[in-house]
Amino acid sequence: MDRPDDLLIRRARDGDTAAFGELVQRYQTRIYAVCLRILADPEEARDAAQDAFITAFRKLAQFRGDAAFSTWLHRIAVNACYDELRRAKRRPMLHAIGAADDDPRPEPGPPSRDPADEIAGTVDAVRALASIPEDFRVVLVLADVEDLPYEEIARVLEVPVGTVKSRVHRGRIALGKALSGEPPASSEASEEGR
Amino acid sequence: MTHPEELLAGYVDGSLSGSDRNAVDAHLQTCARCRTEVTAAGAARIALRRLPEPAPPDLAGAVTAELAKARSVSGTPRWYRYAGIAAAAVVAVAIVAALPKVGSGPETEERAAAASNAPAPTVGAADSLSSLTLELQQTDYDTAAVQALAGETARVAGPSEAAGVGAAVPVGTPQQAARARTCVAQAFPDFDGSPIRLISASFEGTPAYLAVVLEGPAPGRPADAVSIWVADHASCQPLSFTTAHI
Repeated sequence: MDRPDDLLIRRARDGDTAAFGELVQRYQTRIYAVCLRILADPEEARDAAQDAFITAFRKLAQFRGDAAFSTWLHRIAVNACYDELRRAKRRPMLHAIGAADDDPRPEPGPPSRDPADEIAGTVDAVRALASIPEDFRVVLVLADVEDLPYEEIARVLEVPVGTVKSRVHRGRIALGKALSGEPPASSEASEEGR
Repeated sequence: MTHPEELLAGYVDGSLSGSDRNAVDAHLQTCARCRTEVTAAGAARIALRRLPEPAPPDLAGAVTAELAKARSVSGTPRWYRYAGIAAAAVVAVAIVAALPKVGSGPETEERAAAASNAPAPTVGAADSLSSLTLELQQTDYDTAAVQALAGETARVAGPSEAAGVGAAVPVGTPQQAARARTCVAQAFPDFDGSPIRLISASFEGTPAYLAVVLEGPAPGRPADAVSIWVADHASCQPLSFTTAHI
């Protein structure tokens, strides 16, 4: 019943979108969770995860199987998240260019949240995670949310294992500080309290 | 004191082997700084482990519908939009690579000359260079640009080349340079390297200091990595960090 990834990958590579749909079904929970924790916005996470799967389908011919499919897919998803973060940053800039000088820029609304976080009382942790630098956030999501071993994170991010370890440690310290109420590290601080 | 930086992550999440764990335990007995770090890191890991797994939207349905649409409609498939973004990223990398490496001025030239006498860059080599120049750049860096700068610096792999005397770039006063270094150290508790370049620029629109540091296995040993530490100009909070191996 449970067909191995290899078989589905082969079929998808031949253009079988239903086989690829089965692969998406298999990985969507993990990939969506990665995107949601990196981007901290359900809609952006949905877009990034969807873009990641579509990119994966398009690039399937290049997947040689020298890395695990899951590792390869995580790499594409992290890159899709970086793309989404860049787009999100450009949005206010584009708005400023398009708006007349005397046209006040609308205040950004409160960030949307995943309902599960409201129930679990983890909204503060999500906010703290969103306040630390992106590179720290990405590595912590892979290490402490996804529980990937350091060697696999190194393959996902294409950086040396030593870099992963030191980035995880520094990221955890930054997150620990944010959780204990020290001011967030970036300009995102101004979003709160609106 | 040398801190077991690469072991502390594994210590916190329990992935260390027994002997490494014992070594860290012994270090923690005598090092208050690492004890504080381990406590903060442990709290962060617990908070992340408690996050609930979100229910994903129906991506399988959306993706297969999108693929079918891209195939049947003669219009541009959705993913082609990203060709432009990829191109923009390449341009950004090219711009950073083409940036003048450092300002002119007597201090810089002295530094470059001193550095060029050294056979190979070693960790802590910049210590002997008492005055460090603060480059004043108009560049707005983002994560990719900082990574590109780290990669570029790692490729040339030495203070003399990294500090190569390029076109005239304005430089700050020694006081400004000292403030920049202090600010980066305040942002990152474990920043104890001596930067080979200090840059005042902006990071994603926020005025920021960038410190470029050569790192290695031990003081006096050849550097094997370049790290870039980015701190908020005003609040001295961390903004970004990246490493590239030489």
